[in-house]
Amino acid sequence: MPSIDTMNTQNVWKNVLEEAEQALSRASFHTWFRKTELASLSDGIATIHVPNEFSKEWMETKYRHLLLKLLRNAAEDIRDVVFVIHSGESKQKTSHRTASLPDTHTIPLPLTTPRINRETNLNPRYTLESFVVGPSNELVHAAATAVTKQLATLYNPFFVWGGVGLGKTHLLHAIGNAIAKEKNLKVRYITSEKFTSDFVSALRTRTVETFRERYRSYDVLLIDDVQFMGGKEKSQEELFHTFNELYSQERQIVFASDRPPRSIPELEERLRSRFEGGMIADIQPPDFETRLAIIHNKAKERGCSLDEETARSIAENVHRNIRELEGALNRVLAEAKDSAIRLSSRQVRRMLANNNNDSQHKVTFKDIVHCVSRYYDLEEKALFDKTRRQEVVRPRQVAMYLAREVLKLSFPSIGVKFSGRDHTTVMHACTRIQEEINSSGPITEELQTLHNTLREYEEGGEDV
Amino acid sequence: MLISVERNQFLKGLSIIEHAIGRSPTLPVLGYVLLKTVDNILELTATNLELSITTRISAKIQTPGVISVPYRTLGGLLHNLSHAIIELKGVRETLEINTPAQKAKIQGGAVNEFPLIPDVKTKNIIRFQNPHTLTEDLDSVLPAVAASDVRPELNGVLLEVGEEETVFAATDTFRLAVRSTKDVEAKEPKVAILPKRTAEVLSKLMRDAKHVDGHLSLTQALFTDGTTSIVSRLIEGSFPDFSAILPKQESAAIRLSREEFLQELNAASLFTSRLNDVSLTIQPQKANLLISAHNPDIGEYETAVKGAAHGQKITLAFNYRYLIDGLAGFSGDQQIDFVFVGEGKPGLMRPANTKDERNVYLVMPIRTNA
Repeated sequence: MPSIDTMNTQNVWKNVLEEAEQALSRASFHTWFRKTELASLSDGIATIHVPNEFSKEWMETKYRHLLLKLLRNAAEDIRDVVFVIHSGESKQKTSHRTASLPDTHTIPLPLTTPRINRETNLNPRYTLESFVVGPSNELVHAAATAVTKQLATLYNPFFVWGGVGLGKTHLLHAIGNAIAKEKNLKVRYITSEKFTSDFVSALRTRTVETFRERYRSYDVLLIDDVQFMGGKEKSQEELFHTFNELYSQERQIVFASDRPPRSIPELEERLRSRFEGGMIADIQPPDFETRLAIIHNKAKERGCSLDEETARSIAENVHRNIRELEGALNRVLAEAKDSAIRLSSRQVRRMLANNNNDSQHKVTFKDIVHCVSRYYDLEEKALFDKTRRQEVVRPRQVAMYLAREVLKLSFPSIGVKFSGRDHTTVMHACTRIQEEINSSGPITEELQTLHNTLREYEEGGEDV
Repeated sequence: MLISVERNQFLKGLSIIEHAIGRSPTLPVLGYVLLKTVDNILELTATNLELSITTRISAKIQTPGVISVPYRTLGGLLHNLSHAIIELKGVRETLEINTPAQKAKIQGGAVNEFPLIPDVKTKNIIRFQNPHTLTEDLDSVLPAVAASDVRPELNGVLLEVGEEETVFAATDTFRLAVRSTKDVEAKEPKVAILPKRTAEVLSKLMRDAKHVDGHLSLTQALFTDGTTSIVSRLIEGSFPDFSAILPKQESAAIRLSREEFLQELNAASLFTSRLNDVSLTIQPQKANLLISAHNPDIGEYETAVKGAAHGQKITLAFNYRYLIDGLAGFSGDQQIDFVFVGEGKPGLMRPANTKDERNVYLVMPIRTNA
């Protein structure tokens, strides 16, 4: 008989199976024939592969005659049937499948990838050492230092928030630099904007897999300005998965934002709760002494020395924002160079006042009322009502405090504005809020956000 | 093009290049095979853009030419032709296949659409004198290659050609397999990460070669035994510096018969829980290794493998698959040393009586508090 091709044996076996299916019940056909195949037909002997010992036994005793008959229908000269156990292939397949499941129980090897000129996107100018520490940012600096010492184990994620120009970005870069310098790990600093645009372009060019690979390969991921994630659902989802992947592999993640997670609008709950899952630290505007120290530091960086008086007058005039502080310093230094004379403190003040006037549209009492009522979700007129309902009382106190703090109004005049209340009521309100601030209650965050909103009014005069 | 080839040879050639046949709905040409006459041989080429394989078979060339046809149609047809000699005739983009009895016409594709195979030939040839050990080394580190591509640099096999020896390594962060060989001649040191698939194909196709020549460029590699050539992309990035994590101390060690250990692990593996965990205790006093596995739904198993041991009594739990993968990488009836470093620290396997850091398998234990 001519040697029969593999193709041919397959055809023979197919015919046999078709006939066997008709001859047997569905259940027994599926149980015994599904995993069999005809391995070879030679010298009148048909070799059939069966998956295990048990089915070999069964086939031999129950179906031997049937098979022989059916095989003879297909190829006449078959004299005998031999069953051979053959499970190699199926066994391999299962082991492959289970092996590809991610292992979460075994401790990973402490492998590090040497950094090879891969862009970390870090500015080496920003270091933890050059970050001026004062009472307003002590905590956040300590936490950042701790993060660099105990990567991914102590505070993960680390969430920094604070107003514009208070050093969030500096801190993020500083954390990255410290880690990159000491540990030789893959560090990456990006803004949330960059994350989003990378993701969008990955979607467009259908390279989402590469995008994921890249973002999930970092040992330390620093994401700035996460508040811009608000409302971007797909990006949030992607960030969520990236976060989970990194977190489960014990990689450090640091976020910065201009407001706390719960104040970021349109942020998905699952992402918010993850932001809040580690350590949240806020940076407050620096106090006078810190500002002074910063001015001296910056001046030194530029290689100039500043006399105490000038430094003081700059620190007195610019108090909200360190970036503006730097700008003010630059202006003073430039002016001093031009006129080649030492500036008196009055000149400095006038210069800075000039400048401030452009941007400092005054916040009005109306702005405060609008802002507070929006924040606490009240009707504006509720603040003026003669009610002592708790949900109104506190916002009213906050509004009074802000009127005193921001507008520097006198207690009686504030009282008058709030439907003729007594000045002692206003004083009481201010003391209450101050007490809360001192005991660092939730008020600190609330005020910070309110201040930020007010600033937006002030800068753009925009109707939020 | 008009040539005649021997059917079996042709089929063998096709089965070699099949490893590089791609399936891409957007680039159907990756499912094509390029047939090209060179002097008196027929060259078969397939590529999936990452990996390209070219092989040569002898043929009787009447008119030279080149044509590209879908692999599946050509391969499927050849399996069903029974004549020993087949005539191939290329007419523009159509390939006619004739035997005395059969006639087939396969619609091919434009030859100039077939991807160009990068030319990686360099002057610095890396010569693998003994392809058998190349296969063996690759096969023993391949199981440790990371299955996921989260970290691309771990998704392949490190090939580090040094002056003294050549090192192969792979890790998925849970285990690390390292092998070295001296059977490699090279003019200058080279480092590359071969994608997993390339390493697999290399091991499979070069098994019976006389010797294999390798050329490494920055992004591509070429391996050839004279007949078959494999050109592959290399993984960019740098492989972790594993020498830093190879343990320098040991708390306990035991010398075991590889086969006995493997057999007992296989038995214990039937009783493991979902974590695939077996618990191993080196008992220096009793000169044995206690293996136990326990699954409340299945039952439990305990066994002791005899072996000379020293150090302190220490217990670690491992994923048995990792242990079996590691043992499978050592050959035959070897004795192996199994070293425990400490709790939460890796276990280390190496052939007995060597302190060679370049022939080890490192495996991390399972968290005990998990």
